Amino acid sequence: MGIGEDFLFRLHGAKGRREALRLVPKGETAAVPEDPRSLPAFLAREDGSEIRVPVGTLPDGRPLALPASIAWKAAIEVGASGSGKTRKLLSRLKTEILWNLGLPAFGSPAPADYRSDLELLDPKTETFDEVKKLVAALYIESSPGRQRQLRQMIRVFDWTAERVTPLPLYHLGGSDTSDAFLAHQRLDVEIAASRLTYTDGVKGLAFMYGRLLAVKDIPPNVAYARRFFRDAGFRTKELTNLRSRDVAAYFASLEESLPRQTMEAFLRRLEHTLSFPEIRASVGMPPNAVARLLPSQDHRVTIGNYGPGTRLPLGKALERASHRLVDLLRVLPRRNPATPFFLLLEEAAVLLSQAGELTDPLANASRTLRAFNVGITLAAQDFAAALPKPLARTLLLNARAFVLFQSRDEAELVASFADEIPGLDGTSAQKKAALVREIQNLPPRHAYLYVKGYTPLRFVTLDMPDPAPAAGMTDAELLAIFDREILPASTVPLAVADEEIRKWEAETVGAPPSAGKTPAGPRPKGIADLLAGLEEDES
Amino acid sequence: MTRAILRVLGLGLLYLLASPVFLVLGIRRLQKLQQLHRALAAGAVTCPSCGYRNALAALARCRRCGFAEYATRLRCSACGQTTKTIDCASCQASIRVW
Repeated sequence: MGIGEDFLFRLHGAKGRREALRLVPKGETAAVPEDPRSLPAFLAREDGSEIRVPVGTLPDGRPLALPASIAWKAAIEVGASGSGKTRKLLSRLKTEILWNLGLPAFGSPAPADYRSDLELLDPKTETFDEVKKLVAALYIESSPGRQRQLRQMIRVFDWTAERVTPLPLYHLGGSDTSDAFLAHQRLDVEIAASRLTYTDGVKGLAFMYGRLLAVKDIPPNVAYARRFFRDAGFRTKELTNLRSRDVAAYFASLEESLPRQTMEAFLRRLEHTLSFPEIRASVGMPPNAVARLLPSQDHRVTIGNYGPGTRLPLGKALERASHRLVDLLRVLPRRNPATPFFLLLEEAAVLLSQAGELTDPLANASRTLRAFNVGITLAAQDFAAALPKPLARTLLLNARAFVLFQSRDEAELVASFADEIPGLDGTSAQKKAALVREIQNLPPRHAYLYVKGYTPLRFVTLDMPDPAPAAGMTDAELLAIFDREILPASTVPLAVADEEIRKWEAETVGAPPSAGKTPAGPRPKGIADLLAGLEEDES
Repeated sequence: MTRAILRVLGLGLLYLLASPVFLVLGIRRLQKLQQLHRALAAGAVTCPSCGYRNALAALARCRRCGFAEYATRLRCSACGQTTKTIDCASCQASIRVW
């Protein structure tokens, strides 16, 4: 721009501004311009949206409800033990259950024709039990029609001494997943959870055996595996007309290509896994028996108990969770995105830090599943320190909102906004330090909501009183009601599962081969072969 | 010495030959500035297509930096970006202001 234009603009600049300001309605000239990063201002603009998920109350007492553009997206909730994370997850679960029943939740009426899917993975049992009590309390005060709806709506993944949820590990179920993909994922989970060593030979055999189970759509079974590996005639019969030619070719030449010790080592691992009665009943039921005993229902809310107890050790319990997560990550990209899906991972750091094989799928899912209307909420005590750095970074990058309860390291996340948070005095550095201190000392249920792009907002989560006193019952009574009324719709009695497995074994495996016909495997052809065999035998 | 005199003479000759061109350019520039002065002084430009009188002063958002201000629509006070055309508020046709 030349000097002349500059001179003219300066000459007429003040006049232009005066004229422009004359266009502003009087009422608005005095108003303070709206801060584009103010979350309350954004929420006020979105006030008319149909979905307003109740979350808590603001310091001035107004209710805080989030629109779908925030509430349905990925979120991370961090806080020390007892800070209120679990209660917040429970309030979300309660909202979804009530809205799916067409009932108001925390004063917010259910949106018209509301439909959502939700799954909770709890590796510590506590939240699982709280949800059970919540559902039971709701159940006893409902009409018979609504009780039926609840029974159909809730699905449970649990493994107890009496009942188990079937988990057909190698059932492709008409999905477009390949047998190799499924076998690979299952094996990864098993190896990560196992205390036993998996040599390359055993890994290779386990992978191909997993493919065989997927192709034949049969469950893992020790009797079947023993006969398959030890009875060449039975093996030949089982491989006849197999859909996958490379799997058939691999097992057809098994005795020539694989030392007997490798087969025995693999069998020992299978025996170890299936030694737990709950696991054997859960994964060992044939898929057609599962379909017969538990016909497909319109489950909307799934709660999974993956906590260790007196029945399953920690590794095996987390292995169940990892298998379930693998299944979810397989099916979620094929679901109808018209219905939102909420995946709640309680104690996510515990689950993910011990399931390294899930790092890549979950990181990938957090990036891609948004397109399928899937919102993953991770609740953790110490998020950044407990997770592998690349995963923590990916999850942080893909989260839309953070809820910070009383926490230490994660307080730094919102510290940079200290200047914009009212009520803090001093220099920028002093304000940051004061904000970090405040977050580190937040009372229970108090939290900061940080939605990306907006200034963090302090709020109090919804009140979630213990349902037992309100229902006039004890915790044990509510849990018993849940186990009696809701649990049977998605679980099978252990005795029934065992009977189904026994029948399947009798039909498929038949009589075991006579001892004299056990194949010895290939003979060692030298000292190197012999040593390799001994190594497998040791493992 | 002679070469230096020749260079100065050559340069002078060039300016002499170019002076009509500079004169024409200068006159055109003055005309443009006069147009701008008139538009800014009037505070509005009339659309040659539909005859609508478009105010230059408004809540203007800069197309380059996004800065919004109550001022003339022809110049952004934040980044200095100027524009010579505005869109008619009535018929949406572009109007060359200067």
